[in-house]
Amino acid sequence: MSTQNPIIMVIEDEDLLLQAITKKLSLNGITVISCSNGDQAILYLENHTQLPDAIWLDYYLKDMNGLEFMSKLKEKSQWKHLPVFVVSNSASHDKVNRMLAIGAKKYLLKAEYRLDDIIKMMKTFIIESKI
Amino acid sequence: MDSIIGSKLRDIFRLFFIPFIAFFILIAITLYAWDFTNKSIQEQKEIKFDNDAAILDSAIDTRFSVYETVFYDIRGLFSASNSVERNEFVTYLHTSNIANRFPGFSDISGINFSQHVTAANKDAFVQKVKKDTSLVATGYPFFAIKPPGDRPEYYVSTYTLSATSSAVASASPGFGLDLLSIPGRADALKKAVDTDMPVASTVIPLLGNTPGRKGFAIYLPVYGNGLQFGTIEQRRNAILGVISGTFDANKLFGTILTENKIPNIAMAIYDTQETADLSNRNLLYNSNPNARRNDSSSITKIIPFSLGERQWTIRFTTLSGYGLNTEEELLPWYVLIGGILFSFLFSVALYLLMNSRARALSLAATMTRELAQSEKEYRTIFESLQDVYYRTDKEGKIVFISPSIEHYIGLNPVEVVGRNASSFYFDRTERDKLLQALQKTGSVTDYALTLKGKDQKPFFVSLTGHLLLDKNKNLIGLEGILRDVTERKKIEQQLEMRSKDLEISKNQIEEEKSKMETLIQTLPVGVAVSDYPSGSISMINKMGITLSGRNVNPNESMDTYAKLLFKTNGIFYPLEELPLMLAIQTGQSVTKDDIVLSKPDKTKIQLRVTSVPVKNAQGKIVTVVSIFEDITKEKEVDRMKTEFISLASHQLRTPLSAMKWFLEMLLHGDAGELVPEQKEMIVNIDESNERMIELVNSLLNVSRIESGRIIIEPVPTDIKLLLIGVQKEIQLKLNEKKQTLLISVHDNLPTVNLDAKLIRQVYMNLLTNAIKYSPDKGEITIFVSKKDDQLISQVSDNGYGIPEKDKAKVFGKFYRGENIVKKVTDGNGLGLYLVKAIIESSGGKIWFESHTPEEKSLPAGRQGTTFWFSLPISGMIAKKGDVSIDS
Repeated sequence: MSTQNPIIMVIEDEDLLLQAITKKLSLNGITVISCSNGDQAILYLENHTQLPDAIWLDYYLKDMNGLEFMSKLKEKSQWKHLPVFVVSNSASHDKVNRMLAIGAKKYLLKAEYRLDDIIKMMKTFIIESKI
Repeated sequence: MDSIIGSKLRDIFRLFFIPFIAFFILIAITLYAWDFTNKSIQEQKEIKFDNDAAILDSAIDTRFSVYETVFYDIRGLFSASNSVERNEFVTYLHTSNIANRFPGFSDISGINFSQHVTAANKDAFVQKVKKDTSLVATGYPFFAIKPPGDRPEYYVSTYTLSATSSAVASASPGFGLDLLSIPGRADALKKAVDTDMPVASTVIPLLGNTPGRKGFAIYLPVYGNGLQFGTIEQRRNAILGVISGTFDANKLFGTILTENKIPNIAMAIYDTQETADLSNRNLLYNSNPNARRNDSSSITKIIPFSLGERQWTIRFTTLSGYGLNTEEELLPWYVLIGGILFSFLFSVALYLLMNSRARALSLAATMTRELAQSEKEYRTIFESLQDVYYRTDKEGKIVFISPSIEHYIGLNPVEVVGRNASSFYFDRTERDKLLQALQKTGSVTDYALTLKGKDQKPFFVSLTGHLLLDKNKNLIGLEGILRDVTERKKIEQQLEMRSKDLEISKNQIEEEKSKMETLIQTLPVGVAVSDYPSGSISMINKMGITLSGRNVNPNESMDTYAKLLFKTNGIFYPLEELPLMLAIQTGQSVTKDDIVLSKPDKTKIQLRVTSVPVKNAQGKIVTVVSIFEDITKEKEVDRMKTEFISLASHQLRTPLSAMKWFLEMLLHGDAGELVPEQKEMIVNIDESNERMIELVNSLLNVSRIESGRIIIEPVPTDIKLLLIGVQKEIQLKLNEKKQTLLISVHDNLPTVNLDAKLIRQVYMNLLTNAIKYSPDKGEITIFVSKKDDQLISQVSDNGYGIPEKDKAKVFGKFYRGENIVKKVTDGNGLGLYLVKAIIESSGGKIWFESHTPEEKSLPAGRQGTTFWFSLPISGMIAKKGDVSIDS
């Protein structure tokens, strides 16, 4: 296990939700990169060598949707393998299938999960992927 | 029937028998005539034969007489002197040319003279002959008597004239031969010498080159000194020699036969007088040795013949060709063939004559029988006629009436005849009117009258009759037929009433029809009537025309219309999936609301079509009525509504999620520890928030189901495993209320193709309800079994039950039982609605039974609610869509 705190990039256009997520993640000892749209996230990734351990992605963003964001990640080899957790308001069959097909690790429905549960799921994944 | 067949047979027998008998009699006569002719022909033949035989007999006789004369002539020559000189004899024979004039002599022996020589003058005789140079200059130096030897006397052949050579056969084998040395000749010779008569020999073989030739010889003695009459002794002493002629039988008799020109008669001569001994041994001559004997048709005649003291027998036999002339011979055959032909033709003619006569007779008999039959029938009809025939004189007095009158007025014809017709009228003025009518036209047809019947009651008749007139057109009476029309009157009255009723009914029906037509035509929905089973549309109402934008052509098949129909996704609507075709196929009402119609102006409308088979009283489909309405707007509104709910729900989710997570952090103490009262409040807020989330989820599910966009993905599912999963998920809630769940799944249930997500939702909702609406420590059971082709699930609780008055609304949207609204606050009234929607879209059914504790006379343990739902064992049908439940 790395001594360094895990880093999670959160992309959520709803400000209140972004606050709640950021706060909860920080309380759990996770370094958070908060982005309120897709471009911001891409820009951050382009400008930083330190990549996040995982990405918390809302599907509907103001500038793009989750699929578009995923395609952008897939364009660069160093981003290709970033684990993405989609946490969205809607999870239509089609959407879920497409996102999982393109490489999303999980597709979760916001109202169905407590923050704790989602964070636990992501932490477990990060730890396991680092072993 | 038998007698008919019998008489038929008799007729046929008669018809054939007589010509047959005639034929036989004629044939018999013909045969007799034939036989008679035959016999008379034979008789004539025999007469002719006798005649011919006599001719031949006399010819032979004549020929021998000639020979005899010749012999006597020769004897005369010798008798003139006591010796006969060789040259004299030869000269005589030559000049008389006897051998050629009278053919028949033997070729070699011919006519011969033999000198009588005694033993005493033998040598002198021999010397004399040796020295005789009268014919040959050298004489006969080697002459000797043959055969040599000494005998008391000799008859030595000295002169021979052969039949074929006029030369004296000086060197012939016979020269010098002693005739006494030849046994057959010696007897005849001696007898001739003794009797002074010509004597014939027996049959002798002829000398010469041809073996087997037969003949005979005749001898005539020559005495010296002109001895005429003397004793035997005197004759023996005076004998000089004998003249002999040897005859070739074939030559002699053959010539006679030929000369007489009688053909086809065979002649045989036997050297015997015994007719029983006619054999080859004594056969002298046979003209036809090969002729068949014992031929039935041949005639034989045997005649005795004597020649020079010798008795012969001549047998004449006819040969096959012998007979009369051809025409006479053929006469019996003419008679026979002519007779047979005549018999046959006569019989045939007789048959034809009899046949036509028989047919005429049969026709006459049939006609007579039919006439008698029809007369009998007419009599029967007349006597059993219900109608009354009658005749009156000019005064109206009844002179004749049929027996049937008694049936109507109770009086027999005897009682009625003689009375005036007017006395039978119920109303006399009717008679006057009838007479007027008759005077006008002379006859009436179906003229209605009322007569006095039995007991003076009226009875109704119709009269068909006419006036009777004599030659001078003077009225002599009336003739008519009365027909009882009482029944007819009744029926007529009934019919009249019936037809009035019918008229009313008809009017009513017309009215109804008109109403219906108006109704159909003015209905705000389209109505089309289709023929069964073709489906072609025969009628369409105004709205139908408006909706479709076209009128219908009854001749057009459904295929044409189907080309205008599409599914919501734009593909052609398969003809066999149209409600009309399904209704025709299944005989049941079918509704579909996913049919898009393309109008002539290229606009498209969505239709809901319900096709209903219309059956007649016998339950047979006669037509199919399709009702269709434009649901384009309805669908649009629906879609918008669903979309709105979907959108709204999604929008609601964001704040709900924010609240959920902030409350989570508050409760967790992320914003500092809460005091118990604060914590309690936050818990309440959190619970309300959760209910709100639940509600939004339910609403979303409902909107998805309603929009029809839900995906159905059936996979082989083990119900038992599915239920275990459900139980695990729900265990927490059960534990909270200390309730027990008993799951019982029948063994050997097959795995069924189910969308586990949807069915899981069904079980979850039903179980959640059971838990919620049962008191603590309640018992819940799930029982799954198979019945026919259905999988039946039963979910029971012993809870609060559903009040009677709410039962109808159980599956309605947002329904919550009146009795539980206060007891259980959470619950949005969408659960059962969703369950029903899922079950029904899976091809199943759901129903329930429920009893509240308040119900009177409820047996213990019966309170609570049981839901059953069925799913087809064949499984759910996969459906493409774009949403699944709970997402």
